[in-house]
Amino acid sequence: MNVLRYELRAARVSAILWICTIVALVALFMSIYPAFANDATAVLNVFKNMPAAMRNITGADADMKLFSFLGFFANIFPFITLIGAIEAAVLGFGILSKESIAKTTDFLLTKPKTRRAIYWQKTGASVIMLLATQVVVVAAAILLSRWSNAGSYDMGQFMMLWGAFVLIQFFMFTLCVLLSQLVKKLRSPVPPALGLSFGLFLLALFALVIGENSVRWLTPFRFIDYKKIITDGTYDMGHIVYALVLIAAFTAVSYIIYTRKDVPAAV
Amino acid sequence: MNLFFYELKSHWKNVLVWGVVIAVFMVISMVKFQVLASDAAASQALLKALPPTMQAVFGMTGLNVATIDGYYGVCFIFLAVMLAIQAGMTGADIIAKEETLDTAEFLYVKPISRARILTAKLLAGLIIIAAVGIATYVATVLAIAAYNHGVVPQHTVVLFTGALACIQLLFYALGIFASAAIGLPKKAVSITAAVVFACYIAYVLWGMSSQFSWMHYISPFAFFAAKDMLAAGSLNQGWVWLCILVSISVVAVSYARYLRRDFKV
Repeated sequence: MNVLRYELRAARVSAILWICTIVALVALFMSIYPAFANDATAVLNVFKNMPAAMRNITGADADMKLFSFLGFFANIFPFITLIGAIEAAVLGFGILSKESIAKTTDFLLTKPKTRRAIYWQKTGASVIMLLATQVVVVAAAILLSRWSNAGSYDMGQFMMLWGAFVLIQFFMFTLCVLLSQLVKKLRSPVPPALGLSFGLFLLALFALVIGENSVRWLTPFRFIDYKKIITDGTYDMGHIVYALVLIAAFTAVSYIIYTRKDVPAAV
Repeated sequence: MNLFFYELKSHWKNVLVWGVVIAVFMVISMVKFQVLASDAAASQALLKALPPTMQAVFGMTGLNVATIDGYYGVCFIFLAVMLAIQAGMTGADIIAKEETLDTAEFLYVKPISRARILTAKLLAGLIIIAAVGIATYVATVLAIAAYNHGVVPQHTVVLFTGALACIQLLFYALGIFASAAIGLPKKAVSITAAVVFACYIAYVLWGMSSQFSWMHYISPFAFFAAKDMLAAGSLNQGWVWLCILVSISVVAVSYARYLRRDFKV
């Protein structure tokens, strides 16, 4: 258990920084809501007076629901998942390869501890970090929503949105652990983590703009459709199962690689 | 001189990868455009899927996605963010890599002044981001020509490419500053990425609410917002000069600090 304890202690400061950043971002976006709600009532009145055909064309129909707090939050939520994904990606790329980056592989692997135990304790520590982030951020979000006059909203749907955040974080983490085992030499976990997260995010956003749905299978940011949560109150189970299967697969493959690969001695 | 060529040679794969990514992006977006432009029902469906609030998040309000100008205006922000990241990371990496890869001692004991080293690296980086910028222009023109019946709105494309060049220059200078001036080479890339991200979030917030209209002055993406440029038909001179001046002063500070600071070997 000492590897677990060590990793937790080592990641404490950065985890606190990440949590503060995400909470600050949530607070920033929520601070817009009061002004937005005021504008919304004005726009809603305009929409009410539009004939039905016009409403259909400009998409105002869907928008009426989106003027609620949940609708607004669903609109800005992708950016919050982006930061969560970057945190998970940096953790994923770093947790196993940090030994080779810091040239401490010899030290760790010659200790009388199976690679199996090392793998599970390291990834376990990261999972605990991610869970801690998620719990604190969701609690803070609920408090902040009270503070920014959200009124009453469906807590179930709010939690479903944050469920997407959890899924995206675990997906990015396991994907990046696998990738860190596949690349030859990693100088630092930050550039590939940033590149992957930003790339998948821009892909998702762009596909959303041009209305391309096949991308929903490629980028974790579109596994869950936030609008569907607001309008229908359900997930797309197919995509969730797909994501969970991939998470399990990534973990299994990275476990197999790590426990069996030849590790070059630190020069 | 050979440092200049060495840096160019070590980055050509990077330029190739980015060029391919941007080309693929432009082709995919133009394919979609062809569908939108020819089929009115498709563009209606798109507008239905993206109600006005979401359009504000993407900076799409006021842009007619059925026209090539408007559609390219929507693609523009994605190109801008991609090029900003590439420029920032090039700038940060090109100086910081000596210290992070432990080649600092090797380079700095050579009989070449630090000023010459910085100049050679700076110029090499400029050529690299210019290459990516030119690749973007070529990919854009070819993709539009292929899927828009050969009609390319040259004026608009040149205008947007100019804006992209300013954004690239600014973030490249910031990357150089992060690695040369601040004494934390290991964090230089993260700092630059964080700045790009913050500017993007500022741009989104600015588009969403008048409460954040002051963010217009801190985010380069907001300086060159697509709808403003299309409406005006030209780049705002003030913002272009601001970008150039900030870049030059930031690089000057980098020189001053770089020539004097202790390296982390």
